[in-house]
Amino acid sequence: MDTIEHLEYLSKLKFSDEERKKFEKEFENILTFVNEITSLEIPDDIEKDKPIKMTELRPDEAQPSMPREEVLRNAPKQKDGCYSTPLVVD
Amino acid sequence: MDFSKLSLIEIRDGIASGKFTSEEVVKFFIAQCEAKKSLNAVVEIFYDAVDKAKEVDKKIKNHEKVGVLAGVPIAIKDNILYKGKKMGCASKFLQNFVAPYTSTVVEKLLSEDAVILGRTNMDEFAMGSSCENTCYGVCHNAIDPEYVAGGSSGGSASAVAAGLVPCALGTDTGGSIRQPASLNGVVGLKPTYGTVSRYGIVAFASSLDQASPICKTVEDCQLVLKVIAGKDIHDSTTIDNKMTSVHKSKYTLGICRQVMQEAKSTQGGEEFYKLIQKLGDIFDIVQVDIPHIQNSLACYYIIAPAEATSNLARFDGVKYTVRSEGAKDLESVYVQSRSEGFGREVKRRIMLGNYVLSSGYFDAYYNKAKRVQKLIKREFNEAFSHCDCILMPTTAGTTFKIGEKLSDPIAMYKEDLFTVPANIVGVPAISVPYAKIGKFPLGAQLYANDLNEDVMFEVAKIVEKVGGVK
Repeated sequence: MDTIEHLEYLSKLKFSDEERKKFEKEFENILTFVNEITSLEIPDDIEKDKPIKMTELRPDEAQPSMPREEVLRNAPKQKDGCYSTPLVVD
Repeated sequence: MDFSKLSLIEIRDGIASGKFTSEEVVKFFIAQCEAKKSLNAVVEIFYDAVDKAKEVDKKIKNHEKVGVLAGVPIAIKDNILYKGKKMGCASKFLQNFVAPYTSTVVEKLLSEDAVILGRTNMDEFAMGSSCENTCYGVCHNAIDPEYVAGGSSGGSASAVAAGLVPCALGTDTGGSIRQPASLNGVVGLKPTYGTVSRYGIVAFASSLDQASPICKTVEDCQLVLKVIAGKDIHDSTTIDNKMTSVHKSKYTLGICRQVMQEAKSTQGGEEFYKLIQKLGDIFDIVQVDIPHIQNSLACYYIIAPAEATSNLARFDGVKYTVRSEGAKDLESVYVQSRSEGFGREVKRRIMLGNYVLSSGYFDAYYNKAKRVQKLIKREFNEAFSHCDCILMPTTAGTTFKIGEKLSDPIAMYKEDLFTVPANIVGVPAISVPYAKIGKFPLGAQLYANDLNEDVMFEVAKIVEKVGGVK
């Protein structure tokens, strides 16, 4: 499998042949552009630099969640209070 | 009365003093949105805004305590949730999505008695710099409809510039507020990363995203930012940014040598030099070096797609509104729904994100970009030890024709050359209109160090005055 097709697989996307051809060309240009950073030298002690704040976790306490009907309201298909999909296992 | 000429604060004060009512103001701006529908800046007007305005008017009449935004209409970008209202991220994939809850930013606006007027056009999932990648049709520049509004918050910028609303919220991941603000001649802000909660805003690149206002004046932006800022239990990255700062009689402005090298050959270069000369009478001006600042854009086009690819995995044809009609099994529910639902630019970035994260490339691209990001941050820290703010152009030039850059992704990406560094290093930045080339405005940007918004606002007010473009 070539790279583009592999990426389509990872991305859960499917291109038409024409789309793929166009994308291939654009993708090459983008990669050439971002490649500029691959050869940069980085000081060894860079990992010592810390952000202004480390993420704080909230207390692990149960809270009311959104009502099920509200969550499901935007689902394309639902059944018996659950998301509905085509059959997965026979 | 023509409210479109007034700033948000002038409108707020007029309502508070009884000069006019919120109802009059809101009806005026609704009529403006209807009259200038062809701009495609506001994609839906919330007509119940009139009822909200009446409630605020009643409170004021009864001398009840009201908030600092009482009665002022504000529009929101189409990626921000307001319970019961549609929100579509300008994507075919999310049409008919109705917000099940209200975002923190909108809650905060409402708690200060603002009136939410409608939602604004954008590039699909906030990916783009022209507001052409949108399922609602291209958003037009407020100055000339044949030109782009910029993006991704093009609708918010164009709406404010065209007098459809005195303030609109946008989101800024790599310049999505400041670039369109610059191209439309209004003020656009990105605060320090973590200042504003993203709860209820559709995620694009979570380590870079911030929401913020677009207004006509710096003072308006400052007021709205103070309202929407704050720690939020629903967004663990939020910080308590008090924006306190030492006020000085004379500020030092840094000019980045590497940015100047890039800027001198651009369309806006000459005007920018003139601005520096004018500001030399008011500020101490020093040269600073940020040797790797130009690499910010490449870092951005690795980090942002990598995060976007994860954030957009949730759009799978199962949970949100649209599923491909032809899908027969679960795999095709995913693949077909996503292939039909996402637009070209979004697909491009998902693919790029998966590439830089995939085995064999992760270290070379993603990890490397994160390390370069730290290096650039270190260089910014050093630069800020010599100055209060760094001045740079917002964009290389004025707006461009619709369609001009659509087939050249790299040219489009380079629109964000001067805005992306602020997101990469997390610092606040603001774009202020300062000159025109022909009829088209140019914006200048001020960067300040983390949490130093107030210094930035002070300096920006002076630049705004010197520029004299409102």
